[in-house]
Amino acid sequence: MALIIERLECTKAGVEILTGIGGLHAEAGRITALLGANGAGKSTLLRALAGVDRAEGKANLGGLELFDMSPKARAQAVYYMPQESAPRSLITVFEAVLLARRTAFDEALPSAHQAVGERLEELSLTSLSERPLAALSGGQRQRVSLALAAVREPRILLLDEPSSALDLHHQLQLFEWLGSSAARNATVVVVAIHDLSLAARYADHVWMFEPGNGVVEGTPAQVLTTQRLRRVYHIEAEIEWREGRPATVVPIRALPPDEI
Amino acid sequence: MNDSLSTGPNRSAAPGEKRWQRSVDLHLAKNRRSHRLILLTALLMVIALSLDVATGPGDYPISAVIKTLLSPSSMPPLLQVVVWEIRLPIALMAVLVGAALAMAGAQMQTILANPLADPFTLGISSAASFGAALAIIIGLPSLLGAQPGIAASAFAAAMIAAMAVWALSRLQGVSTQIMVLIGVAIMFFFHSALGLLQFVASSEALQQLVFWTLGSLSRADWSSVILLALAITITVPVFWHFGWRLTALRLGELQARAMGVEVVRLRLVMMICCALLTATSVAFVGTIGFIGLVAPHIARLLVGEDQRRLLPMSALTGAVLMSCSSSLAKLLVPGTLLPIGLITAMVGLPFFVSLVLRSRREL
Repeated sequence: MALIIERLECTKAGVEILTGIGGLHAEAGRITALLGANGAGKSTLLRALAGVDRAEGKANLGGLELFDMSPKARAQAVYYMPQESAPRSLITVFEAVLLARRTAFDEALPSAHQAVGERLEELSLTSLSERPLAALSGGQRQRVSLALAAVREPRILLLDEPSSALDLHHQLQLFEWLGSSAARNATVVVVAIHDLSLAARYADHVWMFEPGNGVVEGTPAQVLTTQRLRRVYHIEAEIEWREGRPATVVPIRALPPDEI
Repeated sequence: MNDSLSTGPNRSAAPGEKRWQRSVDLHLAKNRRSHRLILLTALLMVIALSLDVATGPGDYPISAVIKTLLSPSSMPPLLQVVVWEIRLPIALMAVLVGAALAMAGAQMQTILANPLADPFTLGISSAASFGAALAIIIGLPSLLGAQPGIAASAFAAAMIAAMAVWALSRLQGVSTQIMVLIGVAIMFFFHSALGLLQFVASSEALQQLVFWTLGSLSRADWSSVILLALAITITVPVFWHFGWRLTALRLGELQARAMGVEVVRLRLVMMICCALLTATSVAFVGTIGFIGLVAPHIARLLVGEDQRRLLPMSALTGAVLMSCSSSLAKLLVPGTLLPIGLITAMVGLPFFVSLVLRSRREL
């Protein structure tokens, strides 16, 4: 099964933000990385898919037409994890995750409690469960956001820069957990990310915003080429694919304006 | 290592098989603690209410007052009238107004994501007093009957102010700080409109108008108590129904929207409910400031953000504060009933300033 985007358009205050996007797919159980320069529209694309931002389009997953669903059903099937949630809120970690569960499932409270407890344990957040969100560090908050996403058990999980505040240990943990959790639950996972090495290493599939070309897709090796990185990020980079070792993308220098 | 993620299906075979239970137990323990605090506050409210009924001009002994409450017919008629027609409606009104304003304040702080929001700071109270004053001056009461006419006019004006706040909160780039400034502008607008009314009013009407601006429980009677109780009965189920979604808003608007909360509609419904609670309160007792600001903050510190506990705790805290203020208004200057709005303002203003100072980093 796969998420297939036939067409996606988003206009904000009369300005076309997303246009000419189509023919993209993302396999269930795999990680798809969404790449692109700052302001290319990565967040907008994810929000448009989730129905958080108003958008028009046609996308389906196994016969489920996303843009024909009621807001409630869509929020159940698709979850968008925002880039940074920085509430000065006194909500505790447990309460926040419970909230994410309660807004997705109609079930008895004890089974919701169990789902929350298990997710917290899985993401090693049990020791933080009674802390208010306002007292967490940026990285801890990002891990809590992930628990919010996971406990809803969405069929499509859209993550916006989920690792930007994480230390190296937790970055690797996050992607390993994402990979195995996606495979276990047959979830479509799309991750917007800046770190090309992480993308090259963990993504099975890549969507990339390319100026003038909309969004192109392919395997990491097909999409991540030195030529394309010049066009998309205006950088000179070395890309290494080695058997049995993680792939690496080493940025060498930013291109000066006359070389772009 | 304890900090590693357990993936794969074997995780339940690990040594602490039910490790997830720990966070659930902690959560449930916290809930029980909150429930005890809510019960305790409810008890405090009953005590404050009794104290309020027991005090007042006349210097009747407490035992006589209690007897009159329990079996009115056995006591002298004068005491019956004092307790049942004057003191009890006033004391109940204090409790209801406190609860109504506190709930309105809690919800406005939630939907506008602003710790300084409450019916008073956002100008809803001033709008309601303006509406009530207008009804008195142009003689609307004679059309609809005194109390409902004033209440309806107060409600209409409060709705206009609430809708103005709601509409402006939808504009792009309007931050929560700007919202409060706009609210202050709305407050001043209705304040000066009220001043204009006072200027042109006859001397009898002027007497009544002073009552709105200072806030006083002295005109409470059974019909106003019942009307306010009705307004609370209408809004509480709405608050309860949207409880999860309101708590979700405390995670930030984007996060709430991602969870399927229709934020714009939720804000609209809540603003209407807050306007109803505020307008009904203000129509009967005038402008009472700061209860709606202070009570939800105390409640939040005690039981946290979860609406299922925050809402009852806010209501009870507001009721206790208002009930104590009512007793203070009688006791502070013996023989004189001070306007209760002055008492709540004197208690609330220092708190308001401390909140402003605490949020100065974000301004």
